[in-house]
Amino acid sequence: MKPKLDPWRIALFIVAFACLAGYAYIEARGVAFGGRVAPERVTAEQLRSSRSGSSTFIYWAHGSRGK
Amino acid sequence: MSVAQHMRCTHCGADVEVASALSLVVTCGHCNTLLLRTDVEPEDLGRVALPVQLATRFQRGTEGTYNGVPFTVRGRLQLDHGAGPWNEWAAERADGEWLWIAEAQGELYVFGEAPLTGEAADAARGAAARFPRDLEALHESDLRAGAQLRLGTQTWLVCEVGRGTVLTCDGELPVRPPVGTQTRYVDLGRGERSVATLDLTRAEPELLTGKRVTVDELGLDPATQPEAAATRIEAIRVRCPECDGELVIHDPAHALRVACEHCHAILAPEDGRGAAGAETPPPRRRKGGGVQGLMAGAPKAGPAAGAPKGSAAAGQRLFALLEAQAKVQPRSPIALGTQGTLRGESVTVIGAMQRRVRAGGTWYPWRELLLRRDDGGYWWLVESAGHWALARPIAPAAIEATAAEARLGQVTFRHFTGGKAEVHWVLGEFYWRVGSGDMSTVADYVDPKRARGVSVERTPTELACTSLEHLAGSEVSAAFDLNGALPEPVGVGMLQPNPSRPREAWNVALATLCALIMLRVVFGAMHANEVVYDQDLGPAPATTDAETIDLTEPFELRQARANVRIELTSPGIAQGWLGLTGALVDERTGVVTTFATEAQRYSGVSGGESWSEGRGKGTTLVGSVPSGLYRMRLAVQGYDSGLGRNYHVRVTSQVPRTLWAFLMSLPVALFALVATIRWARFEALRWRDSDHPWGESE
Repeated sequence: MKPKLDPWRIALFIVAFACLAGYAYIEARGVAFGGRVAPERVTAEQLRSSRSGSSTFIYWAHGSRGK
Repeated sequence: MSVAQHMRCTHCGADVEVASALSLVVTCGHCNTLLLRTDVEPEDLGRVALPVQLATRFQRGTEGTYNGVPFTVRGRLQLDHGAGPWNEWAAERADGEWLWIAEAQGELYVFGEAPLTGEAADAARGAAARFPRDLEALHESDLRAGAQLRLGTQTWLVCEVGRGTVLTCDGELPVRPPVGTQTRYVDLGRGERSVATLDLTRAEPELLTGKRVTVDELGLDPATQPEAAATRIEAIRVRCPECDGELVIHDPAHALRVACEHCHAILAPEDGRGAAGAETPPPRRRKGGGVQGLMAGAPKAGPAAGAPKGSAAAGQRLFALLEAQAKVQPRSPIALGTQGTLRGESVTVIGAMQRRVRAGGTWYPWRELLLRRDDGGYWWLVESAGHWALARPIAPAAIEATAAEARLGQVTFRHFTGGKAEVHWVLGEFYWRVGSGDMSTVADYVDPKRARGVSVERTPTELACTSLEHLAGSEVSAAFDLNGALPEPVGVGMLQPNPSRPREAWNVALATLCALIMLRVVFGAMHANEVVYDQDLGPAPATTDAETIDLTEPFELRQARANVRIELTSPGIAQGWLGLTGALVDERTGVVTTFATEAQRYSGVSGGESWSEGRGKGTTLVGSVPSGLYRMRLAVQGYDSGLGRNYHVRVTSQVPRTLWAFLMSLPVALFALVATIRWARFEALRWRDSDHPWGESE
């Protein structure tokens, strides 16, 4: 008997396809939920001069942590 | 085939053509005199009635081929066992043998005479001796419907026990028909198609055996069949003797009861066949096209046949008041006379009844609509709380039913409900002697997965089985063009398909997981999973208010928008933690991506039990990092009993996400879990109204 493509079955296959597509997207685009891009760019000098207690963007990006 | 002979009717002198050299009697087509062929002049056996016009596929001269042997229809008997007349056609085979083809309620049966010898003959004589004078006493007999009857080496199921009448005949027959004689018969079945009739009319029982066949199996020549128009029976209009309202009788040849739509009085035909108090008990509904054969009992010599009772032309039949249904308000869910096309068959709603069973002091009613198909067969539409099912007759012997389950072919059905069903009210016309208060024992079995079921009903005289098939209300509405004017379904129907299919959902979930694992393997092969930085650093500060800053050597991330894993390990840490606040700095663009992780390890003894916490390791994954030349700034804080520990940092690019392969299967698994819960709730509602509600011990 030919299976009927009822809404329930359509929903099931949409969910299954979304799972496969989601995983493929995560792998292909390197998606991870860690890391944060700082709001400003840094020069090599700024990088070297950045120290604890300073207000450089690196610390700003991390909020209060590390201060 | 034979060359036609001619003889002169001894009654009217008309020329009578005789096509078969082997026929014993022939009916004069001019005066309906039954003529017995002899060596000299034919003997006048008396006049017989004109047969009632019935929907049929046969006529004299119809040719076909059964089991590879050609045959020609020569004549017919018309019989009645109390459920309206039907035809049994006598067909002469090319090898000189005769077949009997019975047409009963749209079903076809082919019979041949079977000799009764030895133990089978003894068993048949025993059955004849046990045949009760009063059929009501059958429930105490081992000859009742549903019992097993062993004839020689074969065991048969008793499907019906009763008395009948040979109404009339026409054409040529190989036997002398006992027209007008009351007969005694036991209809038998074995398996889905084998049928037999044990005729106990005469002193010596006789047996006809055969099987249910399809039209195709008879290989009928369309050129020799009756015109299509002749197979359709015209409705008649009569007046109700109680209220003088006009009634349309759609199936006049078979209407043994008519319940007036206007005053609800139950009427019976005045020709006597359906009269109250007739000797044969009321046959039950949904007759499975039982064998109904009588020819084994047809005497080959005997008194002249007279005109049978009840032979009035259908269109002239009148009806008399039998019973008033004063205390009920019958209302058919679909108006009587409504025509429609259901499952490819043209049908007409000709009757409706409400039946009910009583359980726990409560009546549980349902309605059944009698549908007449154009080919003369009957179906039923069953409506219960707005849920619909199509009921079609099946051979009782095809079902093996117990209290717990019933088997039909390879399908097993679970018992759902059972009990004594009472006819509450009737409306319209019926082909058996139905009346309010009629009782039968009913057992319904279901296979919810297939939305199908079987119903087994029995009285002492008859066993009848039907297959049940769920119909959506929309399908019923469309079949009869009702524009949705049907009762709304309440609760869950006995056969209603469960919209949730957990097994299918779990299969899809498993297939999705397998596909995800395959994708993981593919991406594992595609991803470099390359360690781009791997260095020992330190020591970390010994106090929490201090911080060390390290700038790493540059390293390259070759794959654009790949993830990057940073692992911090401090193998020497014993009682403390190490926090790393880092930044990936693209040396060419100055874009900074920050991250943080920490490693810790604590251990001790508490209550005599040693414990530990942390592994001295921390990991973080940074997503979609652009390709380029990178340097890391690492700010480290820590504390470990006043000691500054060394630590190790490793950076890996393009890391496959095994965990996510499994995590992404969870939504489908969740779908399947929800489907399982919904399925269980639906089934609990379905079985709540059964004899086996979920959660109750049996």
